[in-house]
Amino acid sequence: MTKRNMLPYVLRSLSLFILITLLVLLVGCGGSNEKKEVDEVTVQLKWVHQAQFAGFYAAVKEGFYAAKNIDADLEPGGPDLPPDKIIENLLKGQTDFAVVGGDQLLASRFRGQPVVAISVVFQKNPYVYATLKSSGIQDPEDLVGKKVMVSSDGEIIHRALLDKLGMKPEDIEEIPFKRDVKPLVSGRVDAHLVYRTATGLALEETGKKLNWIWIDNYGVHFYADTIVTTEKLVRENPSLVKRFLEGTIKGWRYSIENPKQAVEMTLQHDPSLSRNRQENMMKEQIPLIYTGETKLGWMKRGTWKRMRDILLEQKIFATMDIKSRAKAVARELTNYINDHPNMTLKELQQDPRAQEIAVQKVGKTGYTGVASAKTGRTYFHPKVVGRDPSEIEKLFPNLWEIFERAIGEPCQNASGFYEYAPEGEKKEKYMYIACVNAKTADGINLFVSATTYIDEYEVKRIDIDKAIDMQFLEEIYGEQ
Amino acid sequence: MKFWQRSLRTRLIFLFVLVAIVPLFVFGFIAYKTGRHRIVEDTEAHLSSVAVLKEQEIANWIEHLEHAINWVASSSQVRKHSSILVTKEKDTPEYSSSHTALVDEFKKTAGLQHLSPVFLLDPDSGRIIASSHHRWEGQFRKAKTWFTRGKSGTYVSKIFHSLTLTRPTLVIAAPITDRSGQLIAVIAGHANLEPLNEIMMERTGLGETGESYSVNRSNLLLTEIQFTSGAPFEKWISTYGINQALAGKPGVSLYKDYRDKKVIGAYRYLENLKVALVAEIDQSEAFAPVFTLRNTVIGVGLGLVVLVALLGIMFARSITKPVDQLVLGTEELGKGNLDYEIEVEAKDELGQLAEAFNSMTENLKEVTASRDELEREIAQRKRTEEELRKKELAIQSSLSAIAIADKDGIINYVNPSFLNLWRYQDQEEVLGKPAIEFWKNKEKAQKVMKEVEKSGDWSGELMALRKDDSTFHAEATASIITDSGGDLIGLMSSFRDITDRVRAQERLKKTLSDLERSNEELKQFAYVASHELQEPLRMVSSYTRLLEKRYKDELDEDAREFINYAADGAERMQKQINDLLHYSRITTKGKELKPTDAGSALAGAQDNLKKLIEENQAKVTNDELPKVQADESQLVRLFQNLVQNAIKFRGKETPNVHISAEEREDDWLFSVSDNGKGIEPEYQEEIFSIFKRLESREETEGTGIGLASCKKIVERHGEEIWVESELGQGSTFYFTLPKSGGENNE
Repeated sequence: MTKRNMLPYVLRSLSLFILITLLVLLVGCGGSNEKKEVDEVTVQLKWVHQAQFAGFYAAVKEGFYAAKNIDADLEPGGPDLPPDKIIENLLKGQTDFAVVGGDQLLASRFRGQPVVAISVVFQKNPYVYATLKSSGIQDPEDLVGKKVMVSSDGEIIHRALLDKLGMKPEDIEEIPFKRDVKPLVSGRVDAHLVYRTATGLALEETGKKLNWIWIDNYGVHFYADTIVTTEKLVRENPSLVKRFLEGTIKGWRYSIENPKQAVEMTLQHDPSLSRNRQENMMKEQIPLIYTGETKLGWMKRGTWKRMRDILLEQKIFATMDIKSRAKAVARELTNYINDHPNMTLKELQQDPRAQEIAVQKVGKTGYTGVASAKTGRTYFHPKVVGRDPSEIEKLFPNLWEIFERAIGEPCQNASGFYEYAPEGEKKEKYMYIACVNAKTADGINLFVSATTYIDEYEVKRIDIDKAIDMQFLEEIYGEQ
Repeated sequence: MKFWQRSLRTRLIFLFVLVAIVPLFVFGFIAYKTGRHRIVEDTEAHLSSVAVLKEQEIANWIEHLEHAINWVASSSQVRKHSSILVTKEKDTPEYSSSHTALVDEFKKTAGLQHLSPVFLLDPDSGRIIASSHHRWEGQFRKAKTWFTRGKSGTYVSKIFHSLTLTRPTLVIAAPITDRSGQLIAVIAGHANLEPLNEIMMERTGLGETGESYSVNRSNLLLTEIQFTSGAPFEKWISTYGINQALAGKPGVSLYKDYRDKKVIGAYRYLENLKVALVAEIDQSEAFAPVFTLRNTVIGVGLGLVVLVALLGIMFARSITKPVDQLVLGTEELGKGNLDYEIEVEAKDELGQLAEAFNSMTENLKEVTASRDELEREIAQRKRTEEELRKKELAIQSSLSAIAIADKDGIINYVNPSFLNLWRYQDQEEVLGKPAIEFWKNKEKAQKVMKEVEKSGDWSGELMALRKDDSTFHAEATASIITDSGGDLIGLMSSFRDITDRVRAQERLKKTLSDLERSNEELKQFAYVASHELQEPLRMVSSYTRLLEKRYKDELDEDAREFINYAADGAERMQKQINDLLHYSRITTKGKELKPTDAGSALAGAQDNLKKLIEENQAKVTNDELPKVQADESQLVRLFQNLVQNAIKFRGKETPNVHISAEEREDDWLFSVSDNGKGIEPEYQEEIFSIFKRLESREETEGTGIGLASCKKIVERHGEEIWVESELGQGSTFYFTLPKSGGENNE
């Protein structure tokens, strides 16, 4: 009898329990099924597609961004997209995140641009002096009196190193830069300041035994590839910034764990790349990205501060500004000549628009000028137009030395400091020469020189606490 | 069905199994749990000791390295030379000799102690001023934590990747102080990590699947692992064990390792190296004895369950079988089967019950038998009576007159209809009279009665004689009545008055022969008339034409016109008579129906109409036409008339006639469609009547017989013809013809 009475009761309570469980499950599922809108972001890479950005590719392909509700569009950079332009596009809102050098971030902050670093991909700078093992050159002091090839981008770190070691630029013979392995291999130069993960690999491929002199070993710690965004985005959508960074870090972790697949993904972006080169790039860059001392993507205020101090000490912000002026004018002039292929140099000289482009202000008192890349004769300038080059050489030997480096077929970008004393007191000037990439109708190649006094630039302290934002890394990793 | 409503057998079996399983599984489970717990405890203890052992070995290794650096740092020679290097100018002889001495000392240490390189750093700038390996000199380490911390005491760095060594390493740094404890310089050495890797790779006590490895604070793998690719510094491992260790909670647990495999792992955190150390073994290996135990418990348990279930089934059957039989017996009894007997096997209570049941059915059977017989007889009788009553009623109410006579021919029964027919008032007037009295011809009646007696029955017509001596035609049927022995006992006959029918038949016969005669005369007349009329008419027509031809010039315009009218009229009449002749011939001179190709019939018709077609530039087209069962010449005429009509009643456009045929179940449906004027709906029936013309003679010529002929032809074939048309939209004539060789050839 008891059994008869018990069973229905047990069954009823059992079915009730199952019903409740199902309901809870259903409600639970309903909640998690809610779809969020996907954030579309554009990421500007520093350079053309290559393994240098493998972590970003992996984050896209492996769905790390998608998991954070982000649809990322990766835009390659290249020779036509200088760092200034990258920052400009970022501030215009054309892109949401960008990968730039750490020095570029500080230079932008120096100019007052509201960009912020949120993470550093390359903890160690890939710049190395490559020397032939047979030369016996194995530390920077061995470079004294030797021929060294330094690119204009490597100039800053090169100078910072010399300064750190108490060496003078004159101690070393700087040779105009070529993106080429031959000068070092053939012994025309003794050292070549290269990216370990780019030209460094090309040098290795020649089969020569090489020494690598890491700049980072000598107390010059420059952060390389840095992820930046705008103050505005950090303020208005911090969740997006954090999610993007989380996805990116996961992508890098994946790439380091699966370098083969990461290279595969890179090749999908540009099938024309050499697999072997990309695999080597991956192998060489991993210790620079993950050193074992900090977490992936981490950055240190102290390192940023030391970097800022070095750049300020060496007036590098001023030189960077002068350089970017020269490059901008050269670009404008190239376009103008290409648009007017029938104008001779004479006609251009009389053309008001050409004059307007050629002579522009630099700093407070400086200006740009335009000269022939063959003879060095100046054709656009507020003062010295028409003077014979030999006369200039006599009057301003330091300046002419820079000119000489630029003159040639083809024209070479060149830069340098020189002293100038029109009213007695000598003051330091910096000049940057940028080649115009077009010829006039009468076949003349030109270059743009920009120069002004270094001390015109206000030495602003850059507030590192504003230039970098640690909150995202700290949230992702938990306070360290 | 709810459980407690299920059969007794099911419940019994279930109970048996339940009673057997519950304790079995409870004990099995407890045994398994206890066994597992013991094995886990043992394994955990073992792994913990392995982990502790490895931690100890690592500590020893680090201690050895620290000792080596401190030993160099505390050497008085090293102190002296260091102090010179820090204070003196580089190019003094003192400096160079001290430098050489230090480098020698460092080289010695490097060679002996797994430390390479060993170097001295300037305490302010962090610059390497002397090194066992020359290329390190001049490098800066100011920003390194180990340098800052090394100024105040021996310090072991994190494991990191060295760009110069191009491999992971760690640095041991220590201060060099003077006698008063003042810092002179910092000494540091890069440790070779091979010993660490060896310690971690040593697998003593870890079985087949065991391994140990270490991971830094970023979860990055530092030493080699066994089971998947992933070299040190290339793999992040973030398992439960690792994370517990990094959180400073050493212990032993069950969790999934980096392969997502279940392992038992012991984990510890090494404070001085800032790494997590784990020793893991696969649960599958560690728990192998547990699994064996579990499988045994489950196997034995299942075997027992089967055994108990079988026993339960047998026991349940021994109880339920007699009960089932009793149930079956009762059901059979309920159906009335008193012969059913239950087999009695058991001698127990159920056996006794079965015996009692059997004797009960026996008794019941005897009582029932005698009662049944009586009931059957009564029922039989009742049925007979009922049937008799029904028959009596049927005879009484029959519309036919019925009479019964005895074997001597004396009437002994008549029904009310008989009285009516013979006009008697009462039965008494009839009963007892001889049957032959009621007939006009007594002799014939006598003969008929004899005939009935002889052959058993008879039917035919007789002239009856009423009470009032009037007569009527009667249809009669008669048969004999015999007793059960087959001897004649009487005659029974029934009658109907058929006077009306006989008269009607006679009238009908006369009318029919009149009709046939007149019809034949008519046909003859039509044929003769048209045939005989032809000849004189031809004469009128040809002489009128001759007149016109010969006296053309002598006649004036009016006369010529009149003659023309006369000739025309005569020709038209000729044509009309011709058509009429054809029309009358359709039935009178029709030929036999035989398979005929409709296509060639149409071609024949077109041939006949050649001139008309050409004059009108008409286009006559057709689909493929079938063979039909028809009179060929009539089929030609049918097509000819229809096509002719289609062209004659043309509209403004060039006439376009199309003939097609469509096969249907029983026949062929032909259609002749044109683009002519069309026919108004109200005339679509009439046009098939003879002499029906819809248009005045001026508009079109014709005799008005064409479509009537068509109708007659089609009807002669037993089929139909009709038209569908709309005014101004053309017409389509449809007709059907029997299929050739089919059953329809009537």
